[in-house]
Amino acid sequence: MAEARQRPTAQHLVTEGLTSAFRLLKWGGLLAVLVVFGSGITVVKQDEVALRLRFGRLTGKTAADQVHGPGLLISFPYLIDEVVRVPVKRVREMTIDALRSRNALAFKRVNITRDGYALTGDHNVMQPAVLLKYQISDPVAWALKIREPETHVLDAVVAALTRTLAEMQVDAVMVEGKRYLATAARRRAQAALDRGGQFVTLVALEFTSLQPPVQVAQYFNDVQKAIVEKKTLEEKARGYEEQEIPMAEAERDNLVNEAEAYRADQMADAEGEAEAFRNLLAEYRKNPDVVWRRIYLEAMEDLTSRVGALNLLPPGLKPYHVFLPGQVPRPVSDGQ
Amino acid sequence: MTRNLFRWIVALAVLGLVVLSSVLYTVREGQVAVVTRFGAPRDTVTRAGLYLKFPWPIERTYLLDGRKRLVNSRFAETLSRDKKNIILRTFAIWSVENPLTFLQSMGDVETADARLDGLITNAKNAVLGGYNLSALVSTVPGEIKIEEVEAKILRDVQATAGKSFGIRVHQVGLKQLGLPADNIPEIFDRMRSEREKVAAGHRAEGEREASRIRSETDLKVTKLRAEGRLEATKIRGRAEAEAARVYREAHSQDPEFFKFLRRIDALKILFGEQTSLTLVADQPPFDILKMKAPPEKENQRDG
Repeated sequence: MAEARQRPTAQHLVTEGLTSAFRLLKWGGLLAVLVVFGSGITVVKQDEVALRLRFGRLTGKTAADQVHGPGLLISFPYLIDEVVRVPVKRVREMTIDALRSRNALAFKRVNITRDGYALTGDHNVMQPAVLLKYQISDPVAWALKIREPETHVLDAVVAALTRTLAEMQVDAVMVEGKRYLATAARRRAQAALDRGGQFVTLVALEFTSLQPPVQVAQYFNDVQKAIVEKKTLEEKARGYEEQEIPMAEAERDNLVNEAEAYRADQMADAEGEAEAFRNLLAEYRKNPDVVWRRIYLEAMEDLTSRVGALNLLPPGLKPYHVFLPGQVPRPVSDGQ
Repeated sequence: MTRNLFRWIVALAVLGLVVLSSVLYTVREGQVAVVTRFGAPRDTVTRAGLYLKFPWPIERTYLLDGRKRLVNSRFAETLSRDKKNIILRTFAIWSVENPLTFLQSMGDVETADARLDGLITNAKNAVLGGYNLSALVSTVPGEIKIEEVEAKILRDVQATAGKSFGIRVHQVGLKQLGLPADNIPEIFDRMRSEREKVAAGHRAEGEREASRIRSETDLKVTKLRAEGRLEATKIRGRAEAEAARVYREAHSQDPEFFKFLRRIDALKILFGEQTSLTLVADQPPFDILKMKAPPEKENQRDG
């Protein structure tokens, strides 16, 4: 009997098991109740807004009431309220490579069903890839009215790229059309997205790649090389122009300046000599003989001091007697 | 006693939840619902909120996604009016407009996507048959009619989709446009040939432009130098004329005296160390050599 009391019966085991299970259920239930009540507390981050759904319906009648800014948002717990957070202030990025081969080198031929591409207006094949930056502008539409809104953004941009490239020449695309293409495609995509009410703002469209298929890429590269060569030739010629023209201008200015200097020199000489002449003439007119004689004698002094040989002939002898000795008259002495 | 009461409360709460969940249903924002009673449609709900119904099996609720959704068509080859093969891929944005019709005709969104794709493909073939390829790809301004094509496809699709499928097609767009793969090698050949021409053109243009700049530079340089020489010659000429005028004005006051001075200057220039000068002693100043001393001076010396 004592042994039977010590050994637990099946009923006892079941009762204990149920008790344990019920205890576990009780604590689990309590935890679930806490989680449910805690679910009513939401922290909305600085770059987010929150939408509150009560029994599935968006609370608030106006847009301002419907959208809750950053901070603590207290709601009814799960099953009554649901809070949806939408990062409206964050600039989101999306890489769009739907128009570009993922494995270009693997195939010799380009097939649009396998390799994305776009046709340009002059029937060339281009493969652009872009990085799109955008912001959510209508959180209600983004979170509640559109399924997978990112796919709408993606397709709008791809369609806009296809449409814009379809009207452009490949040369314009390759040389200077990137900016135009990005701007035009972004505007078109934005307009398409706005048809049902604006829910995103496309901030920027940046090309990560804008290349023709690899099968013809080297020919396009050669065109780019030719453009660089053309610019180099032109730059060299402009360098020649920039070097030669100033040199020629300087040469012209030098010639003119030298002539001006010559003119100044000539005029100074002329004015000086004229002034000297006038002064001398004034003296000469006062006493012509003295001035004449002084000038003459000074000149003779100067000449006789500078010449290599001075021959003085006796009075009465003419200079040709020097060269014709037979004609030389006998000198007449004073004593005879 | 307290323990039993707690158990009863929990049990009643659980039972209450089960009962409530069978008679209440929630339509979330973006959803629509169709309520059937013994299979017969009883109500359509398009506004979000909490609603009552009889429990299963009396009434049953079908919740449908009423948000705008996007579907891409398959790539499909079509023929333009000018008999060019084009491969197109479109996208469509649609939403459930009439939940009951949608539930009855489509059942689910996957079926609707497939049916809509077929509808759009048919409309696309019909519409594009009336346009040349240049309506889709052209560099001529105003020739592209993609928006017109999209609008026509949308109009064709909208009627059938709304009436038969219970959906509203908001937008149809041409997403990708290509040519059959068999045509691509020829296109690549043409592209290569065009690029070669363009590259040669750029190089020739560069050489021509460089040559033009150099020749224009040479011309400018020659003109500048000539201009300098001309100006310098003019200045020198004016200077000599002015100097001559100054000389003339001065010398005209006594031409004979001027001639005398000029002769003196000429002699000074002509005579140098290599010159032998022969003079007669009776010429001044040498004539002084034959002069006698004044008599009075001689008397003084004698005295």
